[in-house]
Amino acid sequence: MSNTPLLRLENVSTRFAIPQGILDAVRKKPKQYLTAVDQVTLDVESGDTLGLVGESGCGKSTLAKTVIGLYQPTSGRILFQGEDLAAMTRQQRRARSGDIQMVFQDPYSSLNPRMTVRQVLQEELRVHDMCPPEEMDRRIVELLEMVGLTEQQADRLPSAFSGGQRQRIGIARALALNPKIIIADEPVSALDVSIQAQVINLLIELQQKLGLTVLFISHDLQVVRYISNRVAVMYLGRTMELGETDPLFAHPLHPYTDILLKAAPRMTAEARQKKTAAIHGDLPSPIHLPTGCRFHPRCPYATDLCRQTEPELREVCPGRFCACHHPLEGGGV
Amino acid sequence: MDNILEVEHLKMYYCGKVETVRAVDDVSFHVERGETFGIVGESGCGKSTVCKSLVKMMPPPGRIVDGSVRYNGRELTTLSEGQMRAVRGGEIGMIFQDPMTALNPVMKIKDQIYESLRRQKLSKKEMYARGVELLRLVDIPEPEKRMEEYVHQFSGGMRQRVMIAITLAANPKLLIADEPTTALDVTIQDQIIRLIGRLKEELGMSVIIITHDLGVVNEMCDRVVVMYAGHIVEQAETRELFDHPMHPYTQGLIRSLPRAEGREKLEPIPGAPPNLAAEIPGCPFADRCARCTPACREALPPLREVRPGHLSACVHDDLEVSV
Repeated sequence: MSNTPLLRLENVSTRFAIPQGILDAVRKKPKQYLTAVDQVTLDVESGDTLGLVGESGCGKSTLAKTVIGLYQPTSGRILFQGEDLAAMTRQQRRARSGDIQMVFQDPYSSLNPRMTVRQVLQEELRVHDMCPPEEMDRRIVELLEMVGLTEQQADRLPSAFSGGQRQRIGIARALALNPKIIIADEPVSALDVSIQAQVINLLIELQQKLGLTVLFISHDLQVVRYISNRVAVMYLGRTMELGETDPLFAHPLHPYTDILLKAAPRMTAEARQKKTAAIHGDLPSPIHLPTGCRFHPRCPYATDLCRQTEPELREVCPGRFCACHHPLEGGGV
Repeated sequence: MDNILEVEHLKMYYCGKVETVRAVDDVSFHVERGETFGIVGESGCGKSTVCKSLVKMMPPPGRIVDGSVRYNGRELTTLSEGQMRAVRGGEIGMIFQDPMTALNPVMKIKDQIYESLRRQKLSKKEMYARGVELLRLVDIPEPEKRMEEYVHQFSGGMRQRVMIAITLAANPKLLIADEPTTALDVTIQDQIIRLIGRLKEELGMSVIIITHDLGVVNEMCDRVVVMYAGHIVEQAETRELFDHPMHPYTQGLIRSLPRAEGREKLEPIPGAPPNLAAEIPGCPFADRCARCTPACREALPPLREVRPGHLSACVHDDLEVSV
């Protein structure tokens, strides 16, 4: 099993064409593209929780949607148990869809407001033929109890639930098809901290009980650190750093990881002393990427080499990858 | 003591046809001149409503039922709408969470700055010069060029800087910032936090920061109040609060956050906040509190001094625990 990971992404790119006006088309202006995910290679082992972190526009959500098939990758292969999902026909893909399920960020817009919890779960079980009709009620109760809801709540509409409870419904829906992988796209970002902790603990508990593999996407470094055993840091579509959680947080190799860690507001006494920002400048446009390393305009260590040549993601030490010409020695801290 | 703002027993209720929601219930605090004061809490705790009631911007059917708000000794709750407008566009400035919805998408940036300069009766030329100066003050590169642009040409962080520049145009003495960094990425949030800190020093303002993020409170505020269900449950200097949180709710909040060091299991606060339309006779946190006793449900615990300068609204003593 160790040489075929459960999920392997090989040079996956997802590119979107920028819509052109009629005038531009008549003038034969070349089409512009936005490469949201740029040659990402990742392995996710069975039982792993891989955290994907990065700022908005770094391609983390696009990557998730590419993996579950909402977007078609422009190039590259998505291997699930050795089979390429991207090359499958719709029917084949659909037969496979139960294996990878997604929990969405916004528990308000990802549930149909006119369907009761029971209907939401029923629909899914019926469409995928996962459950004989006479078993349906039992299975729904089982799913609800798994996420900490009760049978009495099954016939209520989403509006009767709080944000945290709705996210539990979203998780129950993802679990209905007995998936092997759950992709959780910012599942706790819309929730208050006290509720956030409830949902995080639920995810960890379910993962252990059901042996799930989780791809956990978040912009919150502390949440990712808490839940993941491996972390990939993304910036403008590329993986910048990848490795086991604890060493990566203790000793970031990529300057971007280091800056992300320093920028996040913390509750320590030292954090109060900080007078200057960790980084200056904004994210560059993802359509007109900088030459060389895409992080160089904001990087405090950039050299001429960085301005000219894009660094490859290479294995710096076993299991630790970094895309930088000048990785930080012993971490930036 | 020199206080720029004094709020006493403020009650702001949403008096609907069917029910009355006690969004802010008997809240008292003061802001000292030159300090950064934080109001922290989860959604629905009344932190934004407090600040909207300070400048009488509550959405209907919100009403200030009782209490007083004194700015520099002047009572604000009894002012007419016209007088209030002069205060809002003058000495008290506000910045909001989402700069995209707070700015006008079809007006050039310069015209939006001019709007807030209008009360100062400057000539066109002076207004332009002041606009450029303000954009420079908030670290916007190429301010002359940016003056002519529209909101959609700015990134999220730059929009927040424009928001701040527009607010500063009126030379406020008190800046109220409602979740100013919540919609921003961490690296940009970090920049805006430092910017507000620097401007406060340079311009000698007092600042009120409303946020749900304890990290932001720690990095920005001198003193802080914690709100829950329309009440202030704890008040202290920032470091004192984090080193010795005394109210079970504050302790619960801190314990439900993943810590930078180690991976102790998160301890969420069970349950959800109470419905503010219902009468709650006792402590509003009682239903979710592990230490709840019958006494907690009888009467609302008053804020009392539990350590020097540190107030907490809990009936229990010996509450100090390490979190």
